[in-house]
This record gives sequence, C-alpha cells and structure tokens, in this order.
Amino acid sequence: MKKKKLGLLLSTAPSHPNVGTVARLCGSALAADVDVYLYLIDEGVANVRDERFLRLSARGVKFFVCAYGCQQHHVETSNLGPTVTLCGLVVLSNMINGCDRFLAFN
Amino acid sequence: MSLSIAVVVRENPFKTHRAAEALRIALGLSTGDNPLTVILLNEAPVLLAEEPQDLVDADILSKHLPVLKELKIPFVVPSGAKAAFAVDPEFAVREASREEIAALIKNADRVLAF
Repeated sequence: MKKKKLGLLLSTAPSHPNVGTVARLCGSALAADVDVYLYLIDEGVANVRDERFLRLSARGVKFFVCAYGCQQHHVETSNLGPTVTLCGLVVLSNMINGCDRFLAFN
Repeated sequence: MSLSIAVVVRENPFKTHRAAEALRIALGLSTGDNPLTVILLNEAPVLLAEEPQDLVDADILSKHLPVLKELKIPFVVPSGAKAAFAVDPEFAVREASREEIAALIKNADRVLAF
C-alpha cells in the first residue's frame, strides 16, 4: 500500500514551543510509517542544526531549509549534512500539493 | 484538481517582519497551479496601503508588492478595511464579512496562518 505523506512547515525560532511539537510530530509520523517532509522557513531556519531534526532526517525525514531565509537570518549553510536540502518556495509548493496532510507551525 | 491555499496574515506589519515574509511566501506559492487567496486581518491590510507606510521590511515589500499587484493575486480583507487602511485600488482586493472569511479558511485545502 502507498505510504501516507505528511508535510510540515516550521517558521518559528528555536526558542518557540512549536519546535518541540514539530519534532515530536515528525517522530510519531515516522513511527507510524508515514513519509515526512519538513520545511524550515523564516526564523525557523535557525533550527537547521537542531539535533532532533538532524536525527530525524537520518531516520528518513526529508529535511528542507529555505535558502533565502538562511541568507536573511544569517544562518551559516556550509557543512550542512547530506540529509539537509537548501531550497526555495517551489519545493514548498510541491510539498503542499504532494502531501496527504500539511500542517504549518508559524 | 489543484488544492486551494489560503495564506492568512494576522501579524502587525508595523511591529514584525513576519507579515512581509507571509506575502513573500504567498507570492512564491502563487506561481503554482493552486488557487491562492491571501487574507489580511487585524492591521495587516495596511500592507496594501496606497501611501508608503513605516513598515518592517519595507524594502523587501517594495520588491514584492508590485508583482502581487501585477499578477492580480486575490486578497480578502474584513468589511470596511479598504477605506480604513486606504488600500491601493490597483490590488485585487475584496471585502468580506467575518463569517465569509471564516468559511474561506475552513474550506481551503491548505492554510498557512502567520
């Protein structure tokens, strides 16, 4: 059977409770054999080196980060791991279209 | 059929960059096939004001607003907001009641609220 896909958008800074919520959602969805697509945007890009997200991406979460957001918020993008993809809004558009469920945490 | 998207902006453009960022995201999403509506609540209709305002990230807005205008991206604002915020009539803006706005959000396939 085709796996369900969950898309998550996170735009809040590391200090915001959304970050923990999104990390737990990702983990729960993975455990339920759901494909997870996570997109960090705006202040959310500062979570790009959050250990929880890096572990989740190593377990299979597709991890996307807004390149423009990194530039705007002075987030260093060198030496990001191979599981992190810098991208633009076209990827977000594709996520919105391609996922069975999509949730935005702003 | 393409999924409909509603981008809802509640943030105050005088106080945070997030309102301008929401418009940037809306513009990016508008290039796809999805029918998109931008709903401006609270102080957010001032983003479309005819006269320049002292908004956060005004330089970024100045790049995106002409494109939003040119592409006739549909905006929805609460009844009375066009006059209250002196909205530029060249934008594709319509006023709606609170009930209609609630229905727009409820019926959208995807909602991004800022």
